[in-house]
Amino acid sequence: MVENQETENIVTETRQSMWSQMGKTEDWWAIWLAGLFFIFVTACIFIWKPPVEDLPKYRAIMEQEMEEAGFRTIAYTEAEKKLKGIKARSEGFTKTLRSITDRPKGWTTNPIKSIYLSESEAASKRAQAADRYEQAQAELERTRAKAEQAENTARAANFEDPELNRKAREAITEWRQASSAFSSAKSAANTQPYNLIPSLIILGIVLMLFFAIGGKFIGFNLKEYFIGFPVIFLLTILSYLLSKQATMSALGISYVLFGIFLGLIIANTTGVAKSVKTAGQTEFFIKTGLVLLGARILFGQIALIGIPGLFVTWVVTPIVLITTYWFGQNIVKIPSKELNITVSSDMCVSGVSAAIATASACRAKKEELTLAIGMSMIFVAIMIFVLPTIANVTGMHPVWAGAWLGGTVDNTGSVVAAGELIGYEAMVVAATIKMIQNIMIGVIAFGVAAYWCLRVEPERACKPGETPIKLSFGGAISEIWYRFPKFILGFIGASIIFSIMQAAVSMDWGNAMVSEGILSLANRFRGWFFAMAFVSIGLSISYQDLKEPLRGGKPVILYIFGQSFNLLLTLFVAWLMFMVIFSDITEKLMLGA
Amino acid sequence: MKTKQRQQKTGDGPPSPAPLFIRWLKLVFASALIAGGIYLAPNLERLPWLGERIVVLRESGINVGAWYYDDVEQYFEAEQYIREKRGLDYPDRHSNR
Repeated sequence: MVENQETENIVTETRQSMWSQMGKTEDWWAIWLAGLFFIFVTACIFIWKPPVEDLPKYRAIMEQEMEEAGFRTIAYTEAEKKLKGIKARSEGFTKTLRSITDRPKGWTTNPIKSIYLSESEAASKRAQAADRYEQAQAELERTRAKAEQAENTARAANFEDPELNRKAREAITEWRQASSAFSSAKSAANTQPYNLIPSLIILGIVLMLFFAIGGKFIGFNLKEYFIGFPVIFLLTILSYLLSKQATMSALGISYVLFGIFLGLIIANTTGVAKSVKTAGQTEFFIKTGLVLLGARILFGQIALIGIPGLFVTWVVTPIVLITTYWFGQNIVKIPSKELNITVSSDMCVSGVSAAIATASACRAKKEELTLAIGMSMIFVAIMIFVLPTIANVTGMHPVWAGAWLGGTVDNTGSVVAAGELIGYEAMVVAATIKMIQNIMIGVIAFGVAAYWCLRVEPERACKPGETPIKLSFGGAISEIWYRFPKFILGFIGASIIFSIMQAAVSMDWGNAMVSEGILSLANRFRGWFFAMAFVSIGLSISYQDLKEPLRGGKPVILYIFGQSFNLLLTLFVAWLMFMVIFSDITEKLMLGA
Repeated sequence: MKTKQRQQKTGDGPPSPAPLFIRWLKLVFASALIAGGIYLAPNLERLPWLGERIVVLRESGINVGAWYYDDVEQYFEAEQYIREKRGLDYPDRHSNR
């Protein structure tokens, strides 16, 4: 957007026209590429359309059964299974497209199994799972017969006898659980050989060409980009592969950390070739990924758990964010505002996702983002074990504990993990609270971008010691528009478009075509974009760069203060909302548990 | 308009003065450290208290490292659970049964 000619510490800014920006900047090309992606995938799901015309039929069966019985009967369960089986991502070319984005699989001791499994190894796995499969099948048949008998008895009484209804419900629940265990056993007993190498090569080529489209207009040296890209992609695969080791995976050490580490090691030992630096387009990968992420920020989900959920997320989180940022500026005196806001939002909103969005919105340095993410991951690895232990030892109510975890544990997967260590209801509530908090990322990113344009950038735009120029209202608007990171518009735009789309269509059609179609593919590609971005970040940082922001341990102090405040405030508000004011919602959530 | 430049140091800085052989040796050493860490990681599962919890998480199949909700299968399960319990899918017409 801005061309800078550096003169010591002062740079001269040459303004570009909006048309020029739209054709030549990575902010706009992130939007164009993401738009191109959405158009292409939407075309795919309509050309290779799943049998969505059957959805109303299955929904009608479910509604009729619910109307008659008041609980999920066998027919309801079977119709629900068929309804959920209708997915755009399982059809035609959409399925192929999704399969080439397969990530390395989980492994325990042999990393090769992450990308390759021979026929003999698959046969060995099938043989090992055969007994379990037979047992699961026998259990399924037994529970099915019991459920049928219990349901028929209740149906004979026209579902008017509460005791018979209860017995039928219990028997059907048992059958559903056996069905779930059977599916898992069947999947193990049907283990097929795989070789991800060809699909990874295809994916690498697709991604390389995809970003080259924008790169041509932005002004990449395409020759160097094409030479360097395979290195970035190989390191990306390696970071995924390492993160899939079973214990690492259980500890929540994700590809994000491995990507940064691998890059850092190379950059600080052998150094990085010019072509690899050219291919490591961190900002471009991140911005395009963020526009795809925007499509998953569905505002319809905000009210899922009612007012108490809104309080724990949309009231507590901004309070903690602003307080932590203020503390960082005025008490700890963090030298960089960008580092301060990135650490604050990472800590109190939702970890890595919020850190990426905020860092991009305020144009933080790569090492600042790395530091925020690194700290967050270390603290999360501790919190997922310590917080559930506190909740269990003190006998906290599962809903209260779940809300507490959902509002405080940074990373999304870690929230579910921590909830799982308490119990099912805690896991469900924690997951839902976190999901609502995730939706906040768009608003936070927009707010940070606007604040930076309005307050921080004008301060920087004048010589040291000078007072920023006072702009008229119109001038301020024009200035904000000029400085605003435009990809945020794509991020918010995608969120608004998909939120409206989700609300405009029926829930089942939306799930089959949008959630399990467009968004499912967006998720896969987004993951690769971000993984490449983290490798690129690592490759562009020297150890010295990390030392400077860590000086005096200020970011750590900031994180510990913010997280402590977050833990206490969320604990109190979650108790007030779920245990005192809206205890009826808590009772409903626990009903039948 | 003039703007103050934020000092942006990256790995693009001057190359390490160490000889090439030493730099490669460092790379091999760092890679061996990562490989060793991963090789030894399963031993964490033998630790009292922590080990049990790691095993629970490993066997649960939760994508613990995921950083957005749509990468975690349990989120969709949770949404379904909340909708059912709060009667958002179906009005609570049969609570008396």
